[in-house]
Amino acid sequence: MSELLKLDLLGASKALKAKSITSVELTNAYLTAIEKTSKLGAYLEIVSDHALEMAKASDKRLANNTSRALEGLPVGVKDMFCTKGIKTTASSKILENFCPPYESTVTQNLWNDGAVMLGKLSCDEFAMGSSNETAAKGNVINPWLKNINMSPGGSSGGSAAAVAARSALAATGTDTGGSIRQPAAFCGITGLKPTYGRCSRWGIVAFSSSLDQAGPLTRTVSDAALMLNSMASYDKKDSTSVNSLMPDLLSFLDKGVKGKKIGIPEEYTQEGISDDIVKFYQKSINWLKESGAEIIPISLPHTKYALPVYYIIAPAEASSNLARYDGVRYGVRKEAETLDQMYEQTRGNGFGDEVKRRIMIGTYVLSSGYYDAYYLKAQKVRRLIKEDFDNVFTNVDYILTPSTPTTAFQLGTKQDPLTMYLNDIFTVPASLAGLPAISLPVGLDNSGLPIGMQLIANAFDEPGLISTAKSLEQSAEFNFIADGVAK
Amino acid sequence: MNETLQLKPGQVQGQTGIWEMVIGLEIHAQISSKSKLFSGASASFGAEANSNVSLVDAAMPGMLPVINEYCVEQAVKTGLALNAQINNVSVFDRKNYFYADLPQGYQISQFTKPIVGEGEIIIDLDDGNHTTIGIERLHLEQDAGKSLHDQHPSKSFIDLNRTGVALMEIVSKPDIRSPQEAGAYVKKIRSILRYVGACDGNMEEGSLRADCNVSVRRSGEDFGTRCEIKNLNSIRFIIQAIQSEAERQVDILEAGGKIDQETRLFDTSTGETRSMRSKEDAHDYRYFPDPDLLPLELKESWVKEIKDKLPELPDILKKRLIKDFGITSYDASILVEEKDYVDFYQKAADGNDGKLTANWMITELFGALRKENLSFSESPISSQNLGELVSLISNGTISGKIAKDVFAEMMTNKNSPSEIVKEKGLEQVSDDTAILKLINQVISENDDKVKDYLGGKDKLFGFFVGQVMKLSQGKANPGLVNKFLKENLK
Amino acid sequence: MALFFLVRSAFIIGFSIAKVDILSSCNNIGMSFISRKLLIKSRTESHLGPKLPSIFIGQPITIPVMSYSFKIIISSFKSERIFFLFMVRIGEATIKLESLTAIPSVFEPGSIPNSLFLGKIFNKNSSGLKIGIIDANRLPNKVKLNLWYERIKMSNNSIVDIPTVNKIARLSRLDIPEDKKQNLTNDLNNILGFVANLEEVDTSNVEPLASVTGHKLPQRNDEVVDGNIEDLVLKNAPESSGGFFVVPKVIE
Repeated sequence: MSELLKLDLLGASKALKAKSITSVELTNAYLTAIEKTSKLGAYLEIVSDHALEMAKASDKRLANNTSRALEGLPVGVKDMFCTKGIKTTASSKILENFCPPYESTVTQNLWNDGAVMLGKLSCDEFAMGSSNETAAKGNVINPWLKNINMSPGGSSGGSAAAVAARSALAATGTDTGGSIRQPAAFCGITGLKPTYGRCSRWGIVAFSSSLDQAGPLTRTVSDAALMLNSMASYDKKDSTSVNSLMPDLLSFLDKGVKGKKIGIPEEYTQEGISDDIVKFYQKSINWLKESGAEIIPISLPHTKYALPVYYIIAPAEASSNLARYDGVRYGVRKEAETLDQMYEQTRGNGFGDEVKRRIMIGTYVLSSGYYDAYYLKAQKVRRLIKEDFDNVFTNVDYILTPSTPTTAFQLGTKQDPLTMYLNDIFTVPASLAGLPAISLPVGLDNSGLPIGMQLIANAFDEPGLISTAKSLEQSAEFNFIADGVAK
Repeated sequence: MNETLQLKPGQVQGQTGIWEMVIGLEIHAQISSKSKLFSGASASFGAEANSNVSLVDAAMPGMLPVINEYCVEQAVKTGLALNAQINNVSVFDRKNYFYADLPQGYQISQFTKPIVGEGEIIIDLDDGNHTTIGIERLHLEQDAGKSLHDQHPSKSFIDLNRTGVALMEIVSKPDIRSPQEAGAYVKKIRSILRYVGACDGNMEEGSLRADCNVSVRRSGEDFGTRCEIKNLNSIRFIIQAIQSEAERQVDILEAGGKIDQETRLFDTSTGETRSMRSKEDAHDYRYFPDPDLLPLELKESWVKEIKDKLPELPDILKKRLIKDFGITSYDASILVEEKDYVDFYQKAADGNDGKLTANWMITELFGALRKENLSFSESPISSQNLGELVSLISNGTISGKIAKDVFAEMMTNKNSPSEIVKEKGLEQVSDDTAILKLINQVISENDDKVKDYLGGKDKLFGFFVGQVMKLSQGKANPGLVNKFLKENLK
Repeated sequence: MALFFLVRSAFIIGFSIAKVDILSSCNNIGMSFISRKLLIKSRTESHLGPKLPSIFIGQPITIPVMSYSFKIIISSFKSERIFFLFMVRIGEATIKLESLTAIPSVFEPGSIPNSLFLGKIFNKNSSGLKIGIIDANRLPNKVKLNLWYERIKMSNNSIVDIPTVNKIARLSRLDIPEDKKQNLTNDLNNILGFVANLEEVDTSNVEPLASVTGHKLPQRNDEVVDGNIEDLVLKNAPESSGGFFVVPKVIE
């Protein structure tokens, strides 16, 4: 069984199509892996029967050569995606009994391409967090240095942990300010956030509508390309979905970076980044140079305002998006005498502290008298941040930065909300500008924890992003496996 | 006070003098689209609870709005009909508050950049004058659901059918000065909406509702503090509510008090307004642009196309009817109230005496329909038939009096007037000889009366006319009867 | 006996880390949580120059264990609040203090790990932050001291107090237990303080960003393609009856 787990998504896909393995075998291997790694707490819901049914159906198709792009491949789904008939909780108490009668567009795309669903993965509550410590059902543990209980990052901590622990072949995540890229970095895997509008948001529990994007977490860049090919689509049901055909990303894997210009933003090389990360940043720059890229120093002058802008806009939108969780039509209700009391107790009881904090901040910055100074101001500065990128992209093709300022930290060591927010410092700017970005592992730090580098491309240039990331991945030769991996 | 001065409409008599009303209206008009503004569920009225509800309307997790082009078009049409500025770029904002009939916890509306800007309309007053009322803006927004509070002692029942239905909110400037003006304003808006086809204006079913902002002031002073009276769904209530509210405010101010700016409801049973339970923070709606929707951009060419396709509007139509058909301004006003009336009239008056046709339509037909409690669309008399009746009068086939009988007959069956006249032999007798014969008969049979008439009792003339008419079973041509009687009673 | 206090600030504040040498801080991200032994750095801004007691400038120092009070004198500026952030680690334990006032403060060893001391002074005229040190007898021998301070410009608007928090909680329909209100207020203040640096950006000619994608709002045809799914819509309702959602009564 452990041999089966060694295959990455692309490899497994080839093996299935070559009929050297079956989907049922593969799915069973993953179901066993899930059991073996259960201490990590990555899964909230495991749908073994359903998975095996899907696997059987896939095997039929593989047998008669009517297989589709992801036929038979077992994946995990972050619990922010509504899955029809299967509990979807957004890792929150308030939705702990919610069973959607509909399927999100992104996951439907996966099933339409033959993927097999293993289960729902834990995340920070309502995708708010950078450590997967706010999930209602408890922390997720990073499979790296698993005995000292490191955080897998967040909010897609469950997805990242599962992929790193090989209890999922690949997983879906959502990224609002870094929630795919940061946990990918912490867990030594690849995480891709596409251009805003590439993947439909229909059926994904909304956190911050102008920032949320679905994306894959996978072992390799090629795997991410394969996943995104299926996940991305134009959806009429989502007014922010962009009708722009994405070419087959797999065909861009080997384009390399010769002649490409890579920008190195001076604002991202500051104190506060751990030495090891600085070291690997420099190595990555060299690797790309050696592969034929031209390295160009650039400036993104408004970078230092990205986090404040994000922590105004995201909570503001969230405070409004989460108003629907009121116990009237679905979710857990706390009975009370009056309607208002019911709202207050349902929500006070059903939401965790971080969610409440963000709702409060959001409500405040939108409230009468403060809207101009906070929200409107943030949207203006956001434009400046986007313009920084627009200007820079007239000069360079991609931007390279570290994904995170530090490697994984221990669970429970960052109690203060603000300190936690700092984890997103490198990932937030690309989110605000709606640009596609990928994090991939390039090395380990002195404690043995993975280090991720981030590449950012111009809007809709996922193809170029894939080529460049693939080149860096090849140079880095990151072949390490977490100690907590399923064996 | 014992003022003998007649109060003008819009004036309230206080202890210390006369107060004037200042009124602004916010009209909510449901767009008569098939589906809702942001969801594909039906917008029809009267369906079973929660059957016209989609997952988007129920605000399920992950649901997103997609705008209905037809609704945008209706808003533009209405804006053009209000002589208003069409904003080619407008933004949808979220209006955030909590209520059981508001599943999203916010209403999608337009706050800072509405689709239609300033405009104006002319309204006709009872005394025949006109006045111009300014329009502040028109914007698109979602309607809310319905709550039933009286089905259970401790629970309320929520039906989301109406949630998400497209509304146009038309905000007037505070240019209205009396309850009657307010009534006329609503009537005019309703008429325009029906003309362009954007809304059916059915106030009983809730397609059209008004919130009234009322304040009072002494002549020449600045505007006073206003109160909002919500959800008035008939013109009668609007007029009553405004009057009652203005009087209430005058009483408070005269007693030295202050008006609290608040929202009030009109109690139809008491005829007075009462305060809604005040919610302190209810007014902080935290408007911000809806991030699920991009700004709405309209192409100039599209707006122009709509403008070109607009039907003739009441004011223009009125002028044309007066010019083409020679009717009075008053009659024209009534006819243009509804496009259906105009269509009917134009067909009926075609080739006929315009004034006569108008008279028959307004006085007789409308009167009869009111009496029988029929709506105009249920009229048993078609435009063609009415026109025929009018021509029969004009060409002397029947007299005006006989026409009334024919008309009554037409109300009960669908026969054409010519058929009825023929059937009942009601043709007017206009033959000189025949009439003279009748006259001579009457004269000879009423010797004594003739003598009295010739002796000075002029009033007896009517008696002779009556006798002739009786003899002729009402069919004698009255004009000729009169003429020949005069000639022969010598 | 040597006394070392290891102090580590773990906060990012709007302005960047002060640097003794240079102030090209415009391009800094402004991160400051560095967990290495560092010199006390002071921000040097031409018009605003705080003066640190010399004790805090230079190499980490060894101080004999005894009662100490350190007074840091800062020049005052209008509407500016100064946050002192430091963590005192004594031996293995670190100290947590959540008080927003720091005059005077006493550190005690052996308390919960985790570690942020936040001191705040309002400067109107004066300017002192007094830090009292613990009863020396209970200290282990060596404690390393390092003190950061950061300066944040904050506008007065962003202060929220408990009444404001109550109002916001009400607007958001969130029930906050009494004993959590102070912490929540502190957290909110910290966050609002953090985002306050946006004030310094000149946005006088900048339009707010309405849409990242830049494309137009798509419109759909007026067709009934949805609805008639009462069962699905009511399926997850905590309470429903006769096709209606049921909630506690609202009195209008």
